[in-house]
Amino acid sequence: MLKVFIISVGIAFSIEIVHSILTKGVKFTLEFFGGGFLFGFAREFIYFSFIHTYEFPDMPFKMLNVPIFIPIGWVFTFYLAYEFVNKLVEPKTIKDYKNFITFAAFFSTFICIPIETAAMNMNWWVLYSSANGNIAPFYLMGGWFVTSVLFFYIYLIMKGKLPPKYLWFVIFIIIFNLAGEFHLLDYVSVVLASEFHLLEYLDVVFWGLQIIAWAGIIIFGLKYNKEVTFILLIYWVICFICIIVFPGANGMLVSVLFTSIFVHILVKLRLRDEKHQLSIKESL
Amino acid sequence: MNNTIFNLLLLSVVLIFCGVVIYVAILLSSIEIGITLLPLVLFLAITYRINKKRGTKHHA
Repeated sequence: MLKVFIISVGIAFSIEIVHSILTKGVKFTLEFFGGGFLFGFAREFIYFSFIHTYEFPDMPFKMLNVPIFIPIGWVFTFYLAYEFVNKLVEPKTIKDYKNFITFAAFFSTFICIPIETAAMNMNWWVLYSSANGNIAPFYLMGGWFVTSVLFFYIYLIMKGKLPPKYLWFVIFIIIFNLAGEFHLLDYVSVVLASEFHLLEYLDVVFWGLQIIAWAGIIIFGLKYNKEVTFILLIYWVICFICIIVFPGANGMLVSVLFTSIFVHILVKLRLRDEKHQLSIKESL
Repeated sequence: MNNTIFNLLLLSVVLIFCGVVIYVAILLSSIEIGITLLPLVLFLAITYRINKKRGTKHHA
């Protein structure tokens, strides 16, 4: 059954490459697909080596323990998001590019739940914590959302569409994301505490790192991308509520919420855009 | 003409993706799995609508 997934990804990916070469040229294709693959590979390598919340037992063609079809799957998602969100936003200004990233992240999140659910039921990959019912657990959506935000920020900064100061936001998203991996943060706390002879204050170091991550994401997030920050914070509040009240909550709850936020942000941005157009017409 | 072909290429990628999920849903007789596609379909429908509207505006 894994063949169904691999063959489909292979065919769809080939069509995407053909589409990219025909519509945007070889240079763009090499940059986007090469960069996306490296980014996806690095992401999977870090998760697989240090966080390890899932496994790909039967996937063929592994490189440093990462099956090459997984980074290919990431590029597949990034390219689809790039194409469809370009049709939705048509970015020209920095503000447009920030909206572009928000919608691209939504797109990835909407792709996440169907494919993760299919994979979970077909054992294409194995998650170490499961959800109630046969829908993928909610916490996966945050990972897809953040990965997409990071990729598009880095890509657009490298292409000169966004100024380099936005890298601060990228850095704090990474810190914030890693701070959510409690066992990894535990490990970092122990290393830091033993380095500075603060082992008796381990809890203080742990929660200190959490506070730095939250403060950083709020300060830089509100400065650089309010929408993404708002969604990330809402997502984490849901995560904490789910951990306490509904430990096995599946992705449908968050899917519905994300869909509502997506529609809300879309309507808000379109209204703002219409008001802007109207003010231009009036000034003329 | 070219634009239509490129759009069809992109659409075929989405159809392959949805096809895999629908295949799993049918295989396991689970409507729930099929329903997970709804947010994505909504996103694509909104994109299509906005893009079409923008196209009409450009032509006008």
